[in-house]
Amino acid sequence: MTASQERFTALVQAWTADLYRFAYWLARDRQRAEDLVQETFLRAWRSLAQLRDDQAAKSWLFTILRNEYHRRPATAGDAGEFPAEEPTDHNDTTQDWVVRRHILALPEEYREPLLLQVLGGHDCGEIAVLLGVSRAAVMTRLFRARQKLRAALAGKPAAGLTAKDHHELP
Amino acid sequence: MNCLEFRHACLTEPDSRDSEFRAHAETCRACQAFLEEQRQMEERLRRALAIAPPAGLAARVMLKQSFAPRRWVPRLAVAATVLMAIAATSVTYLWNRPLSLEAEVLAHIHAEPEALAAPGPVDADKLAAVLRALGAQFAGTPGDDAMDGGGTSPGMGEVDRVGSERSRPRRELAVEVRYAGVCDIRRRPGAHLVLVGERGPVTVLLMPDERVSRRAPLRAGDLEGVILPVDGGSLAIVGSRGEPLDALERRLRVQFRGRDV
Repeated sequence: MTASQERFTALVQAWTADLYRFAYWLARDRQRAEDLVQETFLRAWRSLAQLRDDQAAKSWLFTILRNEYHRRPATAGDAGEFPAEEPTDHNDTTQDWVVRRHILALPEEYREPLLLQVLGGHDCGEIAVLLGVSRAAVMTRLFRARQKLRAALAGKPAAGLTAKDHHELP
Repeated sequence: MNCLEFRHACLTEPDSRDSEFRAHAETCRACQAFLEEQRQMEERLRRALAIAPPAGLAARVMLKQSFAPRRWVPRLAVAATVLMAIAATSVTYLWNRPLSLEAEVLAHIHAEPEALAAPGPVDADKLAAVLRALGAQFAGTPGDDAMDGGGTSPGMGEVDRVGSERSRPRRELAVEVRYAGVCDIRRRPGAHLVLVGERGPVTVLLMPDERVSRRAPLRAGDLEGVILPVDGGSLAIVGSRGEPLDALERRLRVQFRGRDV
């Protein structure tokens, strides 16, 4: 096995599951999520020489996957407000179902950075680079995403934050 | 950090390791409770999103990769055969009806998705080398911040006049450059840059051999942009739909002065 193949194998083992979860919640379709992961790694393999710092691998792979998702035309399964199929392969509860519905009801510009942070473990700076927007914009979107979720899950505005505070955000 | 700032931070990065954030959590009981509540919500989010990947996915990825190099050969062979057939039968037609520059620009962007995914930032020397190869000079040479020693992130901004290689950019106009390379556009050398925009990456193509008579907007799918006539060639700026390109269009004034490639 060449050094490149060893490096590629390590990337696949380390990031396949996280990439699949991100792809699934972007596309909301299992087959398309798998296709996105496959295409992401194929492109990564062809461009492996560009990856000079393994510390940057996670953001690099997520960026390729996200670009591939936005590059391909949406299918009927992507257009729905909620997934065509709900995951059933884990310990599903009514509460999980409700949380997922609220996450998927978020505007895409709020949902995407939230998924990158919760599923990918990226910090605000990494998400800013990944989405090609400013760090301040990422912070605003994450704040609003969580504020909406808190309100939706609690049935009231987020505790301790007023509408006035909201407008003072960066 | 006051309570309001702390709660903002809770909702943007609840796992923050910032020392001020942690110090406030230890001294303010109300905010500590707020943070605990938020962490419980994070756990609910993680649990709700935690689906398992299909069995064998990693193995299938490895399998596909193992065939990837071999698949290039027949694909290229087929493509070459088709191109030769087309060339043999339709040379005159193709020469008389080339793709429009707008279509070429969009095709070029789609053909190089790795450029959009480049993590950047591009260092000032690399950027300067690309521009120098094309004989291109911005009114605001990208990377001047770094060359002047006044900043760490290469930027692109406006300067007062073209012709001064070390002109100082106006810092408030700085734009981060994530990718810079020399490429072929319609078989002629051009520069391919990717900048950080407000709604995503913004591609800038510098085309010293492509003359256009007037400003031409372009739009396809989620992309929109413009091709502009500039001194000695043309310039394409393309971003995601809704990207405020007007400001960038005003800022990126370019001149071509003879290239090395």
